Order: sequence, then C-alpha cells, then structure tokens
Amino acid sequence: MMVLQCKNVTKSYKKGVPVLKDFNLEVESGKIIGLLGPNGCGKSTLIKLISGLLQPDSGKITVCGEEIGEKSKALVSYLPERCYFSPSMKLRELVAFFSDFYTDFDAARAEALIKDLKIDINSNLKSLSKGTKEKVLLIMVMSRRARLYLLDEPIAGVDPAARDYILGTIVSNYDPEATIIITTHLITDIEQVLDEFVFLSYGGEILKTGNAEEARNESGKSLNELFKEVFR
Amino acid sequence: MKKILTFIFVVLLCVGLCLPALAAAPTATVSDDLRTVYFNETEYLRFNAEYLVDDTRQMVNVKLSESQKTEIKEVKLYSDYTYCVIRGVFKYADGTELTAYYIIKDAYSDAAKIINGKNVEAVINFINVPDLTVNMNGLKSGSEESFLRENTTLTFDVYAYAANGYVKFKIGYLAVYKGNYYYCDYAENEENSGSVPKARLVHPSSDLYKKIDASVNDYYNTGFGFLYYDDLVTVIAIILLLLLFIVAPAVIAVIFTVLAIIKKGTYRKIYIVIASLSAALLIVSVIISVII
Amino acid sequence: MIRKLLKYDFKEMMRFWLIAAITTAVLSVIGCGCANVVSCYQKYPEAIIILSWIFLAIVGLSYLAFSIVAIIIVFARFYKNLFTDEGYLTFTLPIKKITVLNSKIISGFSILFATSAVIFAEICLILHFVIIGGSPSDSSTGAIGIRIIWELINALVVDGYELAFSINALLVFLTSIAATLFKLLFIYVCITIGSIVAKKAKVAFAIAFYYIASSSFGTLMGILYTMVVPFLVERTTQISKGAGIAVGVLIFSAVFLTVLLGCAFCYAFLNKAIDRKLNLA
Repeated sequence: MMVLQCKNVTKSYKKGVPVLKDFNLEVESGKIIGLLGPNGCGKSTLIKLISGLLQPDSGKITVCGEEIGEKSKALVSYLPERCYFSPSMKLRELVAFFSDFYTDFDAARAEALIKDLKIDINSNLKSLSKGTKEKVLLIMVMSRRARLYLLDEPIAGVDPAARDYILGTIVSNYDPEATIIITTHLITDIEQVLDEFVFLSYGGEILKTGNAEEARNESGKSLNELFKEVFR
Repeated sequence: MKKILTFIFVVLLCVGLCLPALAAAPTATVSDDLRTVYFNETEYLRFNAEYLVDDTRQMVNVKLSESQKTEIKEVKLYSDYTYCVIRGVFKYADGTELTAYYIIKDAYSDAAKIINGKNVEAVINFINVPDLTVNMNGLKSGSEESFLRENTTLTFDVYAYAANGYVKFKIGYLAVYKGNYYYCDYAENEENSGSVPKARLVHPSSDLYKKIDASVNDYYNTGFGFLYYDDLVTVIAIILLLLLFIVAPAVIAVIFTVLAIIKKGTYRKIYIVIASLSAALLIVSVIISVII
Repeated sequence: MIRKLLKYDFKEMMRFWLIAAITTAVLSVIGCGCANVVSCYQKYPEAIIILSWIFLAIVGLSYLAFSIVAIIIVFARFYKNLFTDEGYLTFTLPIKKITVLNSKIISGFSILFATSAVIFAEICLILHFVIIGGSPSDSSTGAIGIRIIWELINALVVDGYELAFSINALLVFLTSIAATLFKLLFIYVCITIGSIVAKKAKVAFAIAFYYIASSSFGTLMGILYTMVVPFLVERTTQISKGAGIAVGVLIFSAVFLTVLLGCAFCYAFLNKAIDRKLNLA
C-alpha cells in the first residue's frame, strides 16, 4: 500500500526559483528510505511539505490517501533538525503533552526509554545537554505508532555513540508496517539501516532510486560512494 | 537591597518629572474684584462683569458696573438651542427694552459649547455701541425715538471661547426695539477698529429681514446643508466621512461577498463575516446621514 | 482539541501573569491603608502622609507595569509558540491551523481582559478606603468605594435620556471589549508580519511595525476626529430630540461595527498568513 504519494509538487520560496518542480514520488509502507542529496536540493522542503509545515504552490501530496491536513498529521511523526520543545517544560509534562494530542502515543514506552537514558522524568528540558535533548526528541517521535516517520537529519551534530543510540532506537522501535523517511548527509552511518534510497538533485529531480542492498550488490560500491559518483 | 533602592529612586524621579507637567495645565482665573478675566496671558474681558457658565440651557447672568446700571437695569444672555442664537435682553432704567439677537455663523460647535457650557465661557464684552438711530421715519440721532443717549458707552459684543482659546466672533445681530427690527452687520467693521457700526432698519416683510430670520431659524436646515458650508475643513470632513463610512464599507461588502461565493471552507466563513459587518456599517451610516 | 491547546497556553502564561497579579494585589491592599491615610490627613503626621502618597504613586505605576507585563506575556507566547522552533511542534500537531490561531486569540484576550478587570477591581478597592468628609464612623460621609464611580455615571445621565444612555453605555462597553480584541489581533498581525518579512531581528521589526502603524493610525484618527466631530455636533444640534437620540445610538453602533470589522480583517490576514506564508527556517 502507498503510504506517501507526491504528484507534480512544485514549491518556490522566491518567484521563478523553484526548490521542487513537478516532483513525483511514491513510497510503499514498511520501508526505511533514505532521502539523500546535496545541500539546498529540497530534502527539508519536501519533509516540511509532507508534515504540513509548508503548503505546495501546486501539486498534491497524500499520506495514506489523506491530503495534508489534520488527518494526515495524525499519521505522520516528524523529527525536525532542531529541538522544538519549550525549554520551560519538564519531561513529564512533555510526555503528557504528547499523550494529550496524539492518540497513537505510547507514554509507557516513552517513559521506559527515558529511564534507560538515566534521565529524571521530572527534570527540566533546559537542564539537558544538546545530545540528550536530541535523544529525548527522538524517543518522543518514535514512541508514536505513526504510519509515516519523517526524520530530518537525525544524527547530525551528535557524537558517534549517540549516533549508534539513535540508529538503534529507530530500528528497535520501528513498526514493520510503518515507513521511515530519513534525510541525512552522513550516508555511511545510515546506509546499513536503509531499505531503499532516493538521490535527490536540485529542483527536486530524482537522479537515482532503488533498493539499497541491490544497488550495493550491482555496483560493488557503498551508497556513499555511489552518492559521490552521482553528484560529482 | 540595591535594586530596591534604585527602583524607588526611579519611581520618585518619574513622579517628580510629572508634577510640573500637571501644574502647567492652562487655567482661566478670575481676579479678586472680578474686573478682568485672563485666559493664559490674554485679557479678554474689559469691564466689570461677572459671568456664570451654566451646563444646562439656563440664563447666564451678567452683572454690570455702577455706571452701566444707571443706563441699564438688567442684562440677560441666554441661548436658544433650536436656533443656535444667543439673545440678549437689555432693560434700561427707563423701562425701555432692547432685544438683540446674536447670530453666530459657522460656530455651531461653539454655540453648542456655549449652550452646554462645557469648556467655554460666554463673555459679554462691551466695546462699541451700534448706532441704532436710523429708523423708518429717518429720525436723527438725539431724537426722542432714539434709545441711545449721548456719551453712551454701552454696547455689546459677544465672544465665544473654546477652551483652547479659539475665538469665534459674531458677524451680525438683529435688534428689536419698540417693534422695529434693526440689523447690524458687524462683519463690515473690523475688530476693535474704534468705529461705530451702523445699524440698518429692516422691515419684517423685507428680504433682508426674511434672510436674517431664515438664517436664525433654519439656516443650516435647508436641503443638503453641507453645500452651504464654505469651510474647507468641513467639506473635507464630509468627504472623509462619506469615503470611510459609506464608500469603503460598500466596496468591502461587494468584494468580500464575491470572495465568499468563490472560496470554500474556513475562508468562506471569514469572508461572510467581513461582508456582513461591512453591510451593517453601510446601513447604519446611511441611516445616520439621512437623519442628519 | 482547542481545549487542550488552551490548557497549555494558559499554563504557560499564568506562571508569570499570576506573579504580576499577586504583586499588584498585595500593593493594592497596602495602598488601601495609604488611601485612608491621605484622605484623613488631619490625623497623621506629614511624613506618613508623604510616604502614603509616594506609595500610592508606586501602586499606580505597578498597574501600568502589570498591563505591560500582560502584553509581553501574550506577545511572547504567540511569537514563541508559532514563529520559533516551537512552531515545528505546534504546526505538526493533528489540528487545523485555524484552531491554533483561535486558541492564541482566546487565551491572549482572556489574559488582557483579566488584567483590565483585576486593575479595575483593585482601583475600586482602594477607592473604597478613601474617606470624604466626616470620619470613617460617620456613615453619611464615609468610604466612597464604588459609590463615586456610580455617582459620576449618574451625573452623566440627563433626565429623559435614560434609555438612550443605557444603550450607549452598553455599546461603549461592547466597543471597549472589541477594542481590546482588536489590539490583541493587531499585535498578532505585527508579529506575523515581522516574522514573515524580516530575516533577522524579527521581534524588533514587529515592535517597530506596531509602533509605526499604531502611531500613523492614531494620527489619522486624531485628524479625522478634529475635522469630523465639530461637523457632526453642528448637524446633530439642528435636528429634533428624538432624531438626535437615534443618531447618537447609531454613531456608537457605527463605531462598534468599525472596530469589529477591523478585528475581522486582522483575523482574515492572520489566517491567510499562517496558512500560506509561514516558513519556519
């Protein structure tokens, strides 16, 4: 079943300079997909369009058949590049907040994962380090039973140990029926968890797509090497 | 502790700075012997008079000096709300009564203020006496028909003040004496020129009298009254009112009605609300303009 | 969903608002004593009277500060929750964007209205301890409390015009509420414009826009008022009493409708801007 469909999606920030032009993409359920491309090619823009933060100039995006809106947001779990929590909140309040708004949020799992990090559930978010905040953010996102997870640069700016934790959390909490779309520059770290990949160029042009394992077997190269080859 | 002391100091400083501003507010004062009235630094009242500002349509009593009392027993000044005219009745010692109408043109706002007594002091200022010696029979000054004696220092002039010191002068007055109407166009004479304004005798059937009477009664009520205004500011005010409260709501109502028909969802509801409010404002504005 | 949003909005704003409200309340309670002192000045030494006046001035300033704090609270909540990183969370919640906007309007308006109500109540409380003539034990000239406000209002009512006065008073009250809402929406519009238009210093841009726009608007209104009011007074003095009453009520209605229209425009702009123009960096 198609969990995501983008049809002729166009988006510009400045007139005459489209970030995405007639972009088309279909994603099946039950996959981990890497959305890979150089800076400014439209990866984050696409993620924001799917999550409902931006409106396309033209075209249509649907998630599980629902147009982007109230219903699609209930199906999508979004992890942005930055921390979006109010620093004045306590962790407990954050868990309560997510429980309040998301019916698919598993508060018990979230609290268990937070406990595993050895963080006091009553501590303020502003007292946590950057790396810990990133982890908490990921826990909250992955504790939802969403149909589509959008992870925008989940391992950027964190140490290697934290990267392993993040990737481990993604894989271990991932619902096989759901789809995860990950954008990243750190292809080497992420490629082992990817089922499929999309190489995105400027204007939203898809240069290459396919199964990650098959691409590696056919070319005898890693995805990272393939990326460098395609975007030379 | 330091912060608290700093805060208290800042508060005291602010209060101290505000006090002179409060003290400098303009006031009108009356001197002890009620001889003069000063409004800021300008002297307006030139003779002994005491005035009372009344905030309802009551008589404003004026007391006269001793020398004036020999000529006039009583002067009463009151306003007629409907006609916006101030009428003064002068009663002489010999029983003669002179009624003078003060038509205040282009001073409805000031007349209203006088009537309401808000921020305005109606002052009697006797400067120049109008020469009302001309009568239908061509009798000369000094004749027994003349109600003005020689060396008469009595005259009347009315200044209407707004609290901001803006002064409006009367431009004409109609006097009634022994059944005859006398009209004096004060506008012919300059302020404080020292010359004595001449009064023309007018017959009640004359065009001049009718014009004056009409002006007293319904000068501003004929047709589209604003067309008679020659005050540029008033004309601009009317145009602004028309644009803001009739033209603009009409345009907005039409545009947003069209948008409400075209659009769907939340935007449609918002556009319907805007169109409805504009239409309601237009209706209210039209009703107001019809009434006034 | 809007109830949940309001819960979190109020929770966030109340933390600071309650502190400010309690502070002014405490100052007002002390101010009651000072009001009593200054009105019965014969009984107290000069130093106490001077200190009481100073404290009353401080109380007055605290009301001003409280109003400003309330506006800052509302401003900060709207800006942070929609236009900073928190906006990523807000706009990805499974709710309509208009629900988010409505929640901010309801919570912001409630805070502003509550602030005005609290200040008004505290002023009435202080007035209640002002003694006019006589001694506190003399019931005929004792504490005036809200009586002075009621007497001031009654003095405005002219015999025979009671119904018109009541209608106009109601319209004035409704207009003041609508004006509070308009002020809130206008602040939100300025923040939205600042966030969308400015690349840096968005808050400064929003504040500057607010002051420029409100000063220009105020100047325009002042000019209009100066030009138009004398004309209207002249016209209304020429018509009959009944017509004059009707015109008075209609003018108040027109003002009320104009303010509501302003609110509707601001709301439409906010809805459009947040829906279509917002791009969180």
